[in-house]
Order: sequence, then C-alpha cells, then structure tokens
Amino acid sequence: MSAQNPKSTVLDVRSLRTTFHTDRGPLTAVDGVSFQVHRGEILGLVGESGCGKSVTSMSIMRLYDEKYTASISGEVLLEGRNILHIPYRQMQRERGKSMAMIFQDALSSLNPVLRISEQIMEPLRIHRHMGREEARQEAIRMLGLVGIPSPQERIDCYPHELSGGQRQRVMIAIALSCQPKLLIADEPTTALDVTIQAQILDLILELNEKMDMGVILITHDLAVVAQVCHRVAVMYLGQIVEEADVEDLFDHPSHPYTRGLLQSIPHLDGGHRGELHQIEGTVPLLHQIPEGCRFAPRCPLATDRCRQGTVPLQDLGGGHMVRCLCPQEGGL
Amino acid sequence: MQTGIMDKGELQKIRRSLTREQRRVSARKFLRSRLSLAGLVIVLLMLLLALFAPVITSALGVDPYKATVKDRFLAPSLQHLFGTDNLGRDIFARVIYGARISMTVGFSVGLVSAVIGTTLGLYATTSRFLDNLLMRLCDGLKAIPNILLAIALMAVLGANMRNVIVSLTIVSIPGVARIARSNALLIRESTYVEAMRCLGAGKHRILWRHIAPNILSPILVQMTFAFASAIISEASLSFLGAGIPQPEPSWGGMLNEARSYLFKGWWMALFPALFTGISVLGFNLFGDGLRDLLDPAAGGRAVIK
Repeated sequence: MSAQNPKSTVLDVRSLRTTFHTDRGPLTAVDGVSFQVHRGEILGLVGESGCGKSVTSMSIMRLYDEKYTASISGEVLLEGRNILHIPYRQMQRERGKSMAMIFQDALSSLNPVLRISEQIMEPLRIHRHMGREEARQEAIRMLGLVGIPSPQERIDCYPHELSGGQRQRVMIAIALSCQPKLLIADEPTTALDVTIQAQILDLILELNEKMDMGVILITHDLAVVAQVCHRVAVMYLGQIVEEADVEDLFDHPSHPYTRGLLQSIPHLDGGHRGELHQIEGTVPLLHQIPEGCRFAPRCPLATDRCRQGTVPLQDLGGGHMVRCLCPQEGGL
Repeated sequence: MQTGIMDKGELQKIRRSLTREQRRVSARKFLRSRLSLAGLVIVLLMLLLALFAPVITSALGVDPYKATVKDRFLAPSLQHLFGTDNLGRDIFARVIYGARISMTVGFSVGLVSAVIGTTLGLYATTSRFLDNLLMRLCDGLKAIPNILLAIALMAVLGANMRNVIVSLTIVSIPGVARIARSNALLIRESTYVEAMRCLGAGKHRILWRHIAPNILSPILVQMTFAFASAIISEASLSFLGAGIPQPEPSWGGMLNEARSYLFKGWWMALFPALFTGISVLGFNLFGDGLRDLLDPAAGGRAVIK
C-alpha cells in the first residue's frame, strides 16, 4: 500500500503533544507527533523504550487523567471528528466501539475472576445493546474468528485455563467485537514465545484485511514491522524522526537513527561482521532534551548545524518523511 | 489442549472434576489447620445454638424470662444446667437466648459494615476529592476509641437492639473502607481494568463488576473480624448499661447483673463470660483460617506480581 492509493483516513493525528505533570515539573513525552492511519492499513510505530510510543497510543485513547496526570494538545481526528476535546462521557462511548486497544501483557489483561464469556459479552452489551443470548452467540462467533478451537466449550473458561497465546486471542476477540475502525496494538506479542508471536501477527494481519480497519502496531521489533506493517513511523525522544512505506524504509533508511536500528539487527549469515552494531550513547532523559536535533549527541554524522534550532520533517518524495538535515541515501 | 478430539461431555467432565479437586484441596488445607477447624466448629455451634434456642429450651423445660423467686441462686444442676440467677431465671436458657442476640448483632454489623465499607472504599478510588473526604472521615472515626464512640452514639440514639447494630456498624465501617480502598487501588492499576476502560466501560461497571469481585476475599476476612468485635462491643455496651436493655438476656447485661453477686452465685458471671470469650475466639480463629486460605502469598493460588 502506498500513499498514492487514496484510501479513506481513519485516524489523523496532528501535532499531538502530551505533557506529564510531575514533581520535577512538566515532562513532554510526546512532542508534536503527526501521522495518519488509513483503512486496511497497518502502521508500525517503532522506537526504543521510552521514546513515547505507548504514551502516543494512550493519549489517542485519552486514558490519562487529564486533570492530574497529563495535558494533551493537538488534534486527534477519528474519521474527521476531533476526539481530543469531546466530553469524557462521549469519549467513553467511542472507546471499544470505534477504537479499541490490546496490550502487551496478555496474561494480565483478562479479569481473573470472570469467565471469558462475560468479558467478551461486555462490550457487546455496552455498545451494541445486545441481550444475553444474542451477545453470547456473537461472542462464540468472535472466538471462532480469532482461531480458538471449539469456541462453544472454551467460552465458559476462566482466563487461567487458557494459554498465553489463547488469552491474547481472546483479548483480540474482545477488542474487535464491536468492529472498531481503529485497533491499537501495544506490543501485542512481547509476552509470547516466538511461534505464538507469529500466529498472533498473522491473525492481526488477517483480521485487518477481513475487517478493513486501521491498525497501529506499536513495537520495538523491526522484524515484526517487516512482517506485517504497510507503513512505519520511527520515534525517538517523543518525535517521529522518519516515516515511510515499509519497503522504502527498509531499502532506503534516511535517518541516522533508523540506519542505526537496522544495523543493530543481528544477521544469521553476517558472521564476518563479528560484533553487533550498537548506537553509541544512551537515550537522554526527558527533562534534559538536547537542543537542535534530538539525536545529535549520539549521531556519528552530527555537525554544528545539527545542534542549533529545531529540525523540521522534510519530505523526500513518495510519502517518505525524515527529520534530518543531511538525510542519507541508498541502502545499508 | 487438543479440544478438537474430545467431545463436549468429556471436556465438561474433566473441567468439573478439576474444579472439584481444587475445592477439595482448599477444604483440606483449611481443615488441616486444627485451629481454624476449631474456629469453624465453634462458629457453627454458636450459630446452631442461636438458631435453635427456643427448641432447646422448651425441650429442657426452661424459660429465659420466667422468674421463680423460690429458685434464686441455685447452683448448676441437672435441672438448671448453668444454675439460676438472682431472680430465679434459668441461666442456660438465658445464655443461649443471649447467643441469639450476639449472633444477630454480629452478623448484621459484619454484613452491613462490609457492604457500606466496600462501597465507600470503592468510590474513594474514583476521585481525589472523595478519597480525601472519606478517608479523613475514617481517620476521624478511628481517632475516637471504638467503645467510647459506640457509647456516645447509643446515648444519642437510645438503647435498643437496632441502635446497637447501627452504632456498632458505624464504628466498624472505617476498617472495611480502608481495606476495600487499598485493595481497590491495587486492582485499579491492573491491565485488565485498563483494558476495560479501553472498551468503554463506565466507572460504576468497572468498580462493581471488575474490581469488587477481586477484593472480595480480604473483605470477607475483615467481615469475620468485624463479627467478632461486634460481639465483644455489644457485650461491653450491655454491661455498661448502654446496650440492649433488660430483661433481654444479653451476655453483657447478664454479666452486669452478676457483678453484685459474685460470691453468692459465681455461675451467674462464669457462663455468659465463657460464652462471650469462646465465641469471639471462635470467630477470630475462623477468620485467621479464612485469611490463610484466601491469601495468595500463602500459596495455592496464583500470586499477583
């Protein structure tokens, strides 16, 4: 899928900015993030721990206590409507119905004391106002859809009777039960082992096509991105530093940070390289964000120009955006 | 699991037997501890005595209210198992009728304070203002010694059984509310509550359907302790004359009467005191056993990380 293909936009995030109120003063974890998700598209949100991937998704869902915890500005357009400033009650109606989320910790995202039937039926009863029996039938259908064998019997299980992969499948069934336009998957495979990981990704890919919804897949695993995503946005210290179609990004990574990430993937056949590549230095803390390009202190190519003034995102053509003064060309 | 090759009936049979096995293990764990078993026996015995008090007394041909002046201060005998008091009333009959009062007060106080305390504790987690308000109120109530507070409330409300229950409930609400609040705060941060919020569940649904069942076991344990302390408090109130008025055979009230006749009829004091002590001990042992059983750290259940 490419940007030329005009598909309707499900989610349009414009200059999203999330600032936490902490004891040590305000902390801006997401600073001017903009991106779009189209129908049937999977957008990968990549970056190392603490770069603001999850904060971005939590802000879109408005899960922070806006009075005490964080203030969020910018625009989040869900099918053209700005949901960032609608009243809380209205937001509550959107959650689960037009947008849903699954979490990385599949083992603890189900309530241990309730049967999974109750938990799948819950959004159906809240949003689609179904009766018990109707909701139960729909829940069984959803369980079948996400690949749980003999759903009629499994539906009355308690979460502890299911394996980790099955629990994540149930979570996906719950999230998709009201056919949301947008699914946010926050590292959905981190807690699972590799074979199950592949199954869950296949499932997300399959359901993404079947239900024609937009998906934001948050991950730090570039292999996952390569496997399922259509577009990728790379985040660093609360900003998007590069965004491109997936082939474009892997073939022509332009930002030094993206190149560093790609070089850090161990190659099975690349024995001659010996040592694993690593990006020098560590991620700065959020309350000491460097001036100029945020990556400059760790960048091997940084010049004095990089350390002054903010660096804007520039379009390299074909929807390939990069936040770098001297974008690199060619493959690795 | 290869559910595909198993038919439905077989699967359900396995599930049922697993559940049964789990229950059996829990039950065995509870019974293995002799103390909690003793607690259970005492609790059941007291409840049965209270329940069947009229049957037992009429079978023995004694009456808790009937005063027979010629039978004053009779020592325990076959006819009057626990002897008679200063008005010639049968003490055994009065003691088991007293169990009715104690059990009613204990049960009502335990149940009502658990319901109200849980509600307050749950809603305290929903807003900082409410949290501060409710918890400071609890602190305030806790700052006054329980029995003083109960006496003050009784003085205002007037002495009868309903008011004893009301004032003891007020006294024991803060304890339950605190426990409910702290456990609810813990559960509130769990991923599944977050997941429910993502699905658009409202505040009340999350509190009652998702948090409340998860904090039930500590509440249940606290309830048994509230039960025990209500029995003691009721006896104290009645002893001080601020509780259930005569001639109702409350254990505390009987002790109060016995005070003047310790040398003439020691049995008047001994039996109500014994029953008060034993039943409080029983409920505390039972509560301890229940806590060990339900406490995840004691093993047997998955530990929440």
